[in-house]
Amino acid sequence: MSTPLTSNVPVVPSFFRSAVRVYELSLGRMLWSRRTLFMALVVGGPVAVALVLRLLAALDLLSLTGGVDFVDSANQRVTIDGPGIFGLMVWGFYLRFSVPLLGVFYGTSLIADEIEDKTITYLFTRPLSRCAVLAGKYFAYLVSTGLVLLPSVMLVFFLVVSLLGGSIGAAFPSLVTDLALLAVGLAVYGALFMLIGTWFRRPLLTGLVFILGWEPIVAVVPGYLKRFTVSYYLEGLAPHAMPQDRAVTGILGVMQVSEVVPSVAASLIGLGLILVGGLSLSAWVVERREYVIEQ
Amino acid sequence: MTRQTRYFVLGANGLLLVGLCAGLFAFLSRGPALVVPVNGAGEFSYVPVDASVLAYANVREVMLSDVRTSIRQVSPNGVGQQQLEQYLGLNLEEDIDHVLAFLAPGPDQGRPAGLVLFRGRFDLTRLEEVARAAGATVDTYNGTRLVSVDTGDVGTLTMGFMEPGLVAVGDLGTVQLAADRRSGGADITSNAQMMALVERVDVESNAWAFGRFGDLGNLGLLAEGVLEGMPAVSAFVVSGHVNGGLGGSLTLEGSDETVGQNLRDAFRGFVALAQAFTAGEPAWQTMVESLQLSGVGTAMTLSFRVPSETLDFVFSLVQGEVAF
Repeated sequence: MSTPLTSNVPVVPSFFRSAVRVYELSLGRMLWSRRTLFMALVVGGPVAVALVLRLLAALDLLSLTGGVDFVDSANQRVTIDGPGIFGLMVWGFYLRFSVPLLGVFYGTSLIADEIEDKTITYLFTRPLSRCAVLAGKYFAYLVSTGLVLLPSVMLVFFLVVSLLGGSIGAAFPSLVTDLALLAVGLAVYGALFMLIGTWFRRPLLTGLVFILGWEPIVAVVPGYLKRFTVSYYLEGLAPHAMPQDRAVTGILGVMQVSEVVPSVAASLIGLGLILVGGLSLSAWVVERREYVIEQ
Repeated sequence: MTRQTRYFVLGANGLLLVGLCAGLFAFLSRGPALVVPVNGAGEFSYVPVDASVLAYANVREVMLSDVRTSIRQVSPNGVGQQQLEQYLGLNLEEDIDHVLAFLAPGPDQGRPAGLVLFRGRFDLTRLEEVARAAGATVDTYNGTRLVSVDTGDVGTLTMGFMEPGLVAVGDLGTVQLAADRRSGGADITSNAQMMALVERVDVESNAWAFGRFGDLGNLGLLAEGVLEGMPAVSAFVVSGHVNGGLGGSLTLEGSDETVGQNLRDAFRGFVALAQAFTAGEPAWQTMVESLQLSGVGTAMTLSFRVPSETLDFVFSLVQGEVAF
C-alpha cells in the first residue's frame, strides 16, 4: 500500500500568514538588538527633559503664573505655558529628530541587516513570497518603533502639560493628533528608508545624508526642492497638532524656515504618495533583485 | 514571539492605553475651557433676548498674561486681593475662569437689569457663610440656591448658584429670571442683531463688549436728548487682547453708509491729531503709530497695539512715581 505523494509537498502559507511569521521573528530581533540602547536614548532624552522641567516647577524655579517668556520673530515677548512647551517638544524632539532618526536606523536595516548577516538566503529560499517578508519586517518596524516612541510622548505629555497652568483635559485632543502625526511620520520615513535599504549599497549613510544634509539644507533654499523632503509635508500637518496660541506660533515662526507651509490636504497627499511609492518600489526591487552574498 | 517580547508589547500597549484613558477622562470631565469661543459661551443661555449690552472677560488668560506680571511688579500685593482670599477664599488669579455680564431693560422704567456671571471654582459654603454673617437670607428658587441681601435703595442684591462652577450676581428679579431661562425659553442667541455683533468681535480677544445704541435708551442710563445728540451710530463693539502686549479694536456701526464714511473721516482726523501731539515722544509715538483705521460700508474700526516694551515703559513710569 503506497502513501499519498501529497504529504511530501511543502504547504505554501498565505501572504498574510507568511507576513505574520516574519513579523513575529523580526519584532524580537529588532527590540532586543544593539539598536535598542540607541532607541532608548533617543526617546528617553525628552522624558528626561520633561522630568527636569517638572523638578524646576516643583522647586518653584518656573513661574506658575507668568509662564516662560520668549521673544518671537516680531521681537515681541510672548508667554508660553505647559501645552505650548509640549507642542514645542513634540516638534523639536520628536518630529524633527526622533522620527527621522528611528526611520533611518531601523528602516534601512530591514533588508540590509539580512544581507550583512548573510541570512537573507535563509529567508528567500523559504516558500514565502518576498513581498510578505518585506511586509512582515515593515510591520515589525512600525510596532517596535511605535511602541517605544508613543509611550515616551505620553509620559512627556503628562509631565509637561500640567505645568504653568496648563490643562490635561483641554490639551488631550492635541495629544491624540500628535500621536497620529508621529505614527504617520514613522510610517512614511520607514517606507522611504526601507526603499533606500533595498536599493542602495550603503543605505545607512545615504539615509543619514538625506535627513541630516538634504532635508535641512533644502528647507532654507528658496524654490520647489523642499517638496522632495518628508519634513516639508509633516510641517504642513504639525501646526494643527499644536496649541494655536501666540507663544507657539511665535516660536515656530523662528523654527520654521520654509517660507510656504503646505495645506493639510497637500501634506496628506504628499505623505501618502511617499508612503505608497516607498512600499511599492521596495516590493518591486526586492522581487526582482538578485542579492549576492559576498563570501 | 518570545516571552520577553510579549511582555514588552503588552507593557507598552498598556502604558499607551492607560495614558489615553486618563487623558480622555480628563478631557470629558474637564472644567470650562479657559478660552471660550466668542459666540460659544455657555452662559449665553442666561442672557435675555432683549439685552442691550454684553461684556466678557477671560480673567484666567488675563491673569496669566505678561501684562499682569508687569502690573504685579508695580503693585505686588494686588488691590485687596489678599483680603478677598482671606474673607471669601477666592483667589482671583486661579479661581475665576471668565466673567460674562449683561445689561437689559428692567421692569421699572429708568432702572436697567444687570447680571454678572462668574465661571470658576468657588467655595460655596464659605461664600454662603460670609453672606449669612452679613445678614443675607438663603432661599431656593426653581432649583437654584439664592443668597440675597437687602441693600436699601439699590434693591436686593442676590448671588445665585446657577450650576456647578457658575455663580450669578445681580438684583433678585434678574437672577430669578436667569434661573427661569435655564429651563428653556428665548435667550440672546435668538436676537439676530446682537448675534451679528458677536461676529464682529476679534476671535483672539480675551475681553470684549458690544451693544446697540438704540437699545441703550431703553436702559434709562443716558440722560434725555443724549442719544438724539449723538451721530447716527447704531452699535459698538470693543474687543481687546491682553498678552504679549496689549491689543484691541473699537468698531462703530453707522445707521447708513454716509454715517460710516463720516465716522471714518472723523477718526482719521483724530489719529492725525494724536500723531501730531506725540511727535518726539518715542514711547507714545509707538502706540499712536499702531493705530489703524479700517472699515467699509457702515462700519468704522480703529485698532491698536501696544507692544510689551511700551507697556513696560509706562509701568516703569508708574513705578517711578510710586517710588517717588
